[in-house]
Amino acid sequence: MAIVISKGTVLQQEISTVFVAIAQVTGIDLPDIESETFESDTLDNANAGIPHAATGRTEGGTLNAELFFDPALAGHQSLLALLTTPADQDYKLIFADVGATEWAFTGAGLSFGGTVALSDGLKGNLGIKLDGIPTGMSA
Amino acid sequence: MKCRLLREMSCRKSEDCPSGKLPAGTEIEHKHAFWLVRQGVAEAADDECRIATNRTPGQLVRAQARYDVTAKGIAPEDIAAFEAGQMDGYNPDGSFKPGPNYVPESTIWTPDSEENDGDE
Repeated sequence: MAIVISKGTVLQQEISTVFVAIAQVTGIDLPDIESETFESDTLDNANAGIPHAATGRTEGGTLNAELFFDPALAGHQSLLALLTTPADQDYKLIFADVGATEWAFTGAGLSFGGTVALSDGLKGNLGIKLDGIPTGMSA
Repeated sequence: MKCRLLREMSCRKSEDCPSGKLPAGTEIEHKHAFWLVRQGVAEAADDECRIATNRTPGQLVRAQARYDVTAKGIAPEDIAAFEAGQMDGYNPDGSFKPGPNYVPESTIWTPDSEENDGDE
């Protein structure tokens, strides 16, 4: 059992068959991965509790990342290229734990936004919509 | 177009990459190979890649030097220490991994250091 630090976490994008780290990332919101359920209540259910059942499927969610955006940086340009030519893109998220655990996932879509503020550097916000769920979550 | 890796990089495990790692010097032929050159992890291996890369030698050198910061997840506030060689990444407890220029604090002499007591 350990508390894993966040510094040293790396988000990588697959480019030309190799995984390249995305620069200047300041924060990552892990995707809200949720197994799908349905309400399985019936008219003859005598219990107060409403039953639910699993469908056997899991929603991968969206990974969000905040970064100091540099429009001239090749790594950021290669991400934005996915908006001009949308395509599936593979990523890896490498945690800063002792074993450098990796989550590999495919992004089906990308969103990009940002903020220009006097009191801060130019910020970008990425949203990567997962296709399926990451591999590497469980041993 | 072709590029040549300047450092070991991870790849998806496949027939071409059974170990999940491609060593430095590996030649990659891909329509997007120029992105690897621009990001500082490869050099152009043919004219098509060189032209598509469209960067000056100075820009490429800076990108190559900067990639170490990115690859190790160095936080913005620690970049100066990393580039000075004082740290080389983070230990799992968050402390700095010593870099090539790391100097333990205990060896740094200051006018107020305990070792200096009595010398005046």
